[in-house]
Amino acid sequence: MLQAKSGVRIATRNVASFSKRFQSTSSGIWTDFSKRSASLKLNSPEVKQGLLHKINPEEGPASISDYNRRLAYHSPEDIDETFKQAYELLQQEAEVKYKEIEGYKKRLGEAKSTKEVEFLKKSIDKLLVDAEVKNPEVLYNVEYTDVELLDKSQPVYRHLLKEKWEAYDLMITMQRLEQLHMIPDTLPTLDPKVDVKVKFPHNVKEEFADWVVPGTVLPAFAVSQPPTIQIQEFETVEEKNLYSIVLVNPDTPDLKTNSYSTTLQYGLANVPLDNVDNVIDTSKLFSQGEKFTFKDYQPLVPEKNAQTQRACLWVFRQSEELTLGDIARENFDIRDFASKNNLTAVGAHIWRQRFDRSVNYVRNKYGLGEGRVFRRVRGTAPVV
Amino acid sequence: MKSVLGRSFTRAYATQSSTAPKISSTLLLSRNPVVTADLNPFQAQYYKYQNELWRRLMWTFPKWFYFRVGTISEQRFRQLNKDPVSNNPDIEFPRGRPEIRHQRDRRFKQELRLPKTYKEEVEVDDAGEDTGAPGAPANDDLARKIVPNSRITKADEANDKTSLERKLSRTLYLVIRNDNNKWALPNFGEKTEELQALHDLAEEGLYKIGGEHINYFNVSNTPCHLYNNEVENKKEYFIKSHILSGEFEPQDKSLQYLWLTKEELKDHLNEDYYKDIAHLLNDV
Amino acid sequence: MFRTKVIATTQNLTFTRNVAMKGDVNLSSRRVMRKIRLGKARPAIFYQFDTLVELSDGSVIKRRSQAPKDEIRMITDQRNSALWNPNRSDLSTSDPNATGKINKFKQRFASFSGEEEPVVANEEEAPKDKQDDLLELMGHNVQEVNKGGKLFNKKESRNRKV
Repeated sequence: MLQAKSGVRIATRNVASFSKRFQSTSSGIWTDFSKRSASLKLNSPEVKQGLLHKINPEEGPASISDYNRRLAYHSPEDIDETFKQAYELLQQEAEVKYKEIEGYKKRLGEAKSTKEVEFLKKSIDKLLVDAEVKNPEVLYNVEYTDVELLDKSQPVYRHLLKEKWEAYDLMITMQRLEQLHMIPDTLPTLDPKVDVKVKFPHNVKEEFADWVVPGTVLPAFAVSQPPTIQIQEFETVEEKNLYSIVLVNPDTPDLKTNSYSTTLQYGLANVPLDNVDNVIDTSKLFSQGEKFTFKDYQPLVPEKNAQTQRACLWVFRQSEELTLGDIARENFDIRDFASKNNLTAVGAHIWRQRFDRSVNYVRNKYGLGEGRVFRRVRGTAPVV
Repeated sequence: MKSVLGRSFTRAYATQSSTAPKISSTLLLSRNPVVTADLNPFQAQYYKYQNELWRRLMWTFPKWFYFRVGTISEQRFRQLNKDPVSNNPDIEFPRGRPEIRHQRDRRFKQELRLPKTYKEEVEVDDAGEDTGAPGAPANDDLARKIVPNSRITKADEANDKTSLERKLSRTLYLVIRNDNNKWALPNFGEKTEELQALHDLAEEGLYKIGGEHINYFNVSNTPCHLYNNEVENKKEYFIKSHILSGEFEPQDKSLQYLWLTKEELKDHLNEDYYKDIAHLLNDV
Repeated sequence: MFRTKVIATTQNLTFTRNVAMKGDVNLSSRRVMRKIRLGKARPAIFYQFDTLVELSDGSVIKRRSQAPKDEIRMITDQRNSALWNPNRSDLSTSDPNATGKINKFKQRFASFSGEEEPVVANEEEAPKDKQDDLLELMGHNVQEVNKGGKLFNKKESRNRKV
């Protein structure tokens, strides 16, 4: 059973009997995979049949799981013929675009100045997107199949994922960053270029094992081990970019000043990532973690009666390789850190933590010491 | 208008000849399309599909309003439109249970057949004799069936380019040619004796070459385009007009004329001349 | 067909429908409109037929209309009217102003006013065209009589009372 993103189950039927009914379209650029990647194809043949050709009236559309409702479905009249003609037209336009791409590639081989090379590469990328953005198979893959399985090296997929990100995830992230005042409490502002996703895979409970929605309050046990961070770049990255990731807590109470200070909880630098290899997960941390961890992960352990503390994750793109000395955890100045090392902030994430019943357990397990217990102090101003 | 003035401004200093160019008026006489434009196959298919969707979403025909119960027309309507298959709860309907509301299945578009308002043709027996059914109506009978004329006329089939009946869905433009000259739009030079307005020049010229039986409509007295004819050293101001009815009958036997569409004009006219005026011509 | 909603209160269940029910009080005399939920408003798409309309000069137009007719034949329309075809002299067969005040004046003072010939002469000259179909409908041997005008003039009757 293919589990689609929306939770709708698509029934798979006997493939052998299906293949007899399979109708092939006339050959065009979208059915030809000699020069195009096979990741642009729709893998399920039943879904492909229903999408591109006539839905078998004895079986009905694959997207309806209830048997009776599926059989009761009647397609609008003339839809098959119209779709077929529209598909042919769009395919022809895509063919024209591919021919242009070949022309540009030839010019790229003969190009001299770097400016021209850059321009040609950008044009080729744009044309690759334009040629495939109307392909129904590609659109189906982005909308209804698992996003993680998509081939991010294809400019089309990146373009469509960027559109999806901008439509929802980006807005949520920016809303939480602003409402929780991560901006401007840590860095002054953020111009988001990258989709940052964070999850804590060591959790057994489903509630805490999935990607974290920015701003959620997480219990201490759920964040006790280093997170998996996915950094999705939407522009073409040819050679791997270097990234720095910093997890900062701007709400550590400072009794002397009766205010708060920032502590550095987690620091990674010189992490090489590109479009496809975009996750810093446990396997990478095990194999290469030594090289790029400059500050080990220390989970936030809020103290009793302290307010809800924010865990601010910042993702920076490095301009060159960094060599960092010893950096103290306490009183960490993130703005100074970013400007000294010429880092550009490209993405951010945030979650919150407060004192709960698992904090002491985490403190004991990881030897983080005893926490203080705060209490309200009566003010000296007279009560009127 | 602005470009016309601009160009004449620059050109006035660019001419090398000492004599001032002559002023002339060119007539852009067009016959507007008679029937709606032809659609390419995808357009036709798309509109057909949209039509089907619209029909599917249409409300049920209010039969009770137009065909009152008890009248003969209602009886005829009922004879032609039988009720849809009703929903019997004891039967299995493999392709969905019908939902009947006001004698219509809600799941599909409503297809109605209306009683004919025209007389039928004669029904002929196998033996070749009339069966006695109503005869074919006379030509002038008000109750005869409406048969639209074909969009492809005789002139289309004969490919008679001098005919105004050809290509009813396109715009046709008049071009003329004197012996061994090139094809061009009719041009009338200004007379030296009396000064005339450009549109008057065009009108008189048209009647002179094409006869009096032309009912035409002049769009505007202001010319729509200026063409600087360097070869003959004259300025051609284009006057746009439409021919509404009548025929262009060449008064001079040596004059050849054609009514051409935009693409055909491209083949017949001079390349530079065509490029200059292509924006004036209608694509439909 | 109608969506029902069950509201459970502490004591009893109440069913509501988006339509007027028996016990409902409607203080205005207007018919109670069915409640259209947010996002559920749909346009009115009346049933329309594809009709062929033949105008008086023979040209055929395909249009959509609600009336249940496949074919309509017009006998008076734009092509037949002098107002829409000012350059054609053969269209006005009968004077539309025949029964108006102006014509009444002209009839009374014909000897003093304009030099126009009576309309009857023109009628004979006009070509027999489809307009005569109208006459055929009414029957042959029909003489057009310019009778008419108002049967009862309220203002005049008011004056006469005094």
